[in-house]
Amino acid sequence: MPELLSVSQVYKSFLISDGMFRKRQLDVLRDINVIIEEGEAIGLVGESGSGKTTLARIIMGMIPADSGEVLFDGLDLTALSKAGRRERRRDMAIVYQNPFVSLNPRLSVLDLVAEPIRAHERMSRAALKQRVTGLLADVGLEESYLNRRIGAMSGGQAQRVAIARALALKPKLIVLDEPTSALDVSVQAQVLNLLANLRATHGYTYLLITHNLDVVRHMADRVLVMSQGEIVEHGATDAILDSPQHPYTQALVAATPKSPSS
Amino acid sequence: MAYIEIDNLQVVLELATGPLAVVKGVSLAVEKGEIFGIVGESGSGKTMTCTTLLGLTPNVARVSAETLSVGEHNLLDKNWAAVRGREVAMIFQDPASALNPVFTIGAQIDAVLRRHTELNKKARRARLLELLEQVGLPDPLRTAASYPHQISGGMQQRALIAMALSAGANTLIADEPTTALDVTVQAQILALLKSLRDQLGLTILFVSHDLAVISQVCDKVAVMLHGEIVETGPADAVLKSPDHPYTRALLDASPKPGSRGTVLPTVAAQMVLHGGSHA
Repeated sequence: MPELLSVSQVYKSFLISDGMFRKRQLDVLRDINVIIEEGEAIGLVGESGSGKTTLARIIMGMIPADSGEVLFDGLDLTALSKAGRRERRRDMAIVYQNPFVSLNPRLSVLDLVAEPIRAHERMSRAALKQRVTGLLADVGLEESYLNRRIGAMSGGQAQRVAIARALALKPKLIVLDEPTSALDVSVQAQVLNLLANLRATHGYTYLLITHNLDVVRHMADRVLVMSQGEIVEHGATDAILDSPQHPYTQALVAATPKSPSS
Repeated sequence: MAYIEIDNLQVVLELATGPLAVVKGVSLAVEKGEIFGIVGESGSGKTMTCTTLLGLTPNVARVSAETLSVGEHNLLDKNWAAVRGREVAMIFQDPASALNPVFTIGAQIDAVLRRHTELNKKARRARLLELLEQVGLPDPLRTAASYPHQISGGMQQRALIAMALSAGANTLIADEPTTALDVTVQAQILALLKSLRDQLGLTILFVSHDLAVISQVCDKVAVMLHGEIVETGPADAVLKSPDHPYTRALLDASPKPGSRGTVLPTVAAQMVLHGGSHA
């Protein structure tokens, strides 16, 4: 499979305020190297503050790295013109943990899902509506949802809308940032099935960020373990989780409560 | 008579759209020193059941029961001042929002001690440091002087447990106490709750949607669905070989080693309320 994303030697630090006038440098990412091939599902695990989300933001081109190189489809996003970067951005999308925070509650489902399409393409209102209806069908929502707002929906339904919105431009890479952490287990099962099904039918590439090792094991072919800004271990999911080598991964696996039925 | 006795508890919300029964005839008996799990999904009534033990149900709620008692206290008397903090205390999911951001940890626990005890200033200070040490905070003096944002989520939850115990409560309601925490921190908080039960003889009602967590800490468990208990018994037995199809369905819906590439069985539609959210 061709390489879709290559992150090499990426460093990132933030200046944080330490009292009124003192500033302190906080190294958030140190020497990060990641390669994602087309069609892969990669898990990125680690605790709060380990740098998972910062890495995702750098990959998406939302913030620049201090040093190092991020190549998406062979192109360095930061080196592109504004228009060029905008064009590349349609190939990536992100789904956040909590749809009630990430989606505008005042927009209808039609407008939420149509927004990325409107930003990149010109099409008639009727064609747009037809496309959105198709996307909703992909995520298992009926046409009757078009004019509803997410405030009147359950967590699982709202997350489906967020997924439909992420799929709107048929992106090459979808970043899933804790996509089921806010959901009940029964709803989580539905959303995980949906994501697996979409990948099987459309060949999407996933970068799945989560702290839930069971979810990673269920979804990801390979896994990267982050701790304190570094990737401490990576490899095939089952190999890493069955016999973790790094002390941090060992602690993570040991601390995860075992599913009572397994 | 069990330490916590709930018999035929009904909670009805009087909404503008009409009455809505959210707890429908729940009966529970929890022995002293037990960790009793209540598991269920959003909207199943697990939190509402627990808040009736503190009189913290919303204003629109109408609560009735044949028996509702904790220790010596008959809660149907509604003598909440004698119950809250002194007999029953509660900790919540998100410690950061349960603490007041503009007061130090020490000041917030001291406020509880002033309200509920006769201790003088010096004795309160000693008790404060003792409590912080008891919940495993490494540097009690420093933690007492810290504001909530200066300490980690795990330390915040420990501080809240110290606050919950400060007025001498024998019963702790823990409502999703580790859902907002990282797994390694979760493991520490679960160990702390178990050791407090062993040391102090605390009775703990542990509310969670996470079956794995429940199986790790609880002696007994009740599974709630649509405001009713569908199954109850020793945690091992219920979660290893459940009798009720809903419990079975919840277990099957959780991803587990070996489930990759398979479709996760979803809980039958008639069993799901409205697939809510914990956030």
